[in-house]
Amino acid sequence: MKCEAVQNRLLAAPDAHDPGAELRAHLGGCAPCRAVQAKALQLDLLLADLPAAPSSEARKAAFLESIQQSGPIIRVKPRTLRTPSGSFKPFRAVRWQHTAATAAALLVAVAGIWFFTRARAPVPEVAAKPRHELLKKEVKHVTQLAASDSAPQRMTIWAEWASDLKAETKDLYKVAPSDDLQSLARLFERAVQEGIVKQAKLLDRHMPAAERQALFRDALARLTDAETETKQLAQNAPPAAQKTLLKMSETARLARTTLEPLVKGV
Amino acid sequence: MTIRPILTLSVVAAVSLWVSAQPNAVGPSAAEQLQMLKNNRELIEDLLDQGTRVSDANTPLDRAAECQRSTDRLAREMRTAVDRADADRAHEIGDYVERIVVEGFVPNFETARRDAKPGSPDYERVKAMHREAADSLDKLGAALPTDGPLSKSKRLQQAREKLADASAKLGKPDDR
Repeated sequence: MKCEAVQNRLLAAPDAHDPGAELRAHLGGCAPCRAVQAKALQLDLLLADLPAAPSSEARKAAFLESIQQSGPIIRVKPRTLRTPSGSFKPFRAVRWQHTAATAAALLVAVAGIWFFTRARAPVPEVAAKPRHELLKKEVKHVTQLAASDSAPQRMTIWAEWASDLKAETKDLYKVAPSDDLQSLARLFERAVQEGIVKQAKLLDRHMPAAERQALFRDALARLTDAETETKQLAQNAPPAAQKTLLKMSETARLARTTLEPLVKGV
Repeated sequence: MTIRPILTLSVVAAVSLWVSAQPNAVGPSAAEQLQMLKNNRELIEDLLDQGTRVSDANTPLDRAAECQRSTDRLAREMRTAVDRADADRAHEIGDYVERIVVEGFVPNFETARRDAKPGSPDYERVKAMHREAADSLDKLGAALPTDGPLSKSKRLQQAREKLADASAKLGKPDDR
């Protein structure tokens, strides 16, 4: 037991002569506490010698009444920090409070940052939506066509445009309704017929054979690819898409058979 | 209980927010692409139609005229985007308008202007086309709101800048 606790209990004991076995055991080996005990005994003696003020029943009653009128000294029972087991653990309680205070401070800080950042922005910008690649490519092709002034250049651009439409169809044939697919098939047909085939027919008949073959190689490869791929896709496509895919395949086949004789300049 | 779990959770939450805010690295899903096709179907059909016209145009002046028609079609789309307060779409279309004007219209127009002899019908047509193209871009720029919440959108400001760039490349008509 600590000396400070022993000395406090000595002063609070009704009889400093007989403080109890536990304190006596400590006092036996602690000179400073014995000195405190001696002072406590001396204090008791001095208090006993003090003259008592004369008293009466009336004065006593008045004194008690004044105490009662002032109301209870302790109005609210203080809450003790105890664990369910009843053991007193102030250190753990204080740590919990610190954690809660830190969490609250963090929450306030985050809310503050969010609020002030939001308040400064003039208009909340939503994230940029992804752009439709087909539209972007169409704009590019229109621009390329405007910059080209010869049938060979235009034929190449149209072959690329038709491939883009086929690629869009390939991406969507499983999910697109039939009218959207049919629209893509019509655009593909126009790109092939009004683009590739039309420009191929405008080619100079006297173009050197090697140059002509190189020019047709890309267009024919793209048409052959479209013809076989759309036919393959049709085999496992939803029923509504099968007809459209086969139509695209047929469009590509017809264009290919039209172009093949032109390679030779016939 | 220590502060460590709270700090860990805060860091994880912050990293998650940052990651979710990153742009999607892969392309759109099939459903998103289908929606884009539905939204753009009419425009895509019109642009292919324009493509055939540009393809059939045999002179720079005719090609410039077809580019102007393509720009007008896109301008209609941009006004629709503004009406819907869709700054993102206006920005996208602004990019396309600028591209067609700068890479399609202007080179053909410059060639046509150089080739047209003063007093010839083509010369008068070139002058009229220049006025029309400049007016079209001015009107489109004026259609973008200058007040209200949409006007403060960064993307709309970028669209405005694109149109201004296109106007600058086109130059002012001689009679202005």
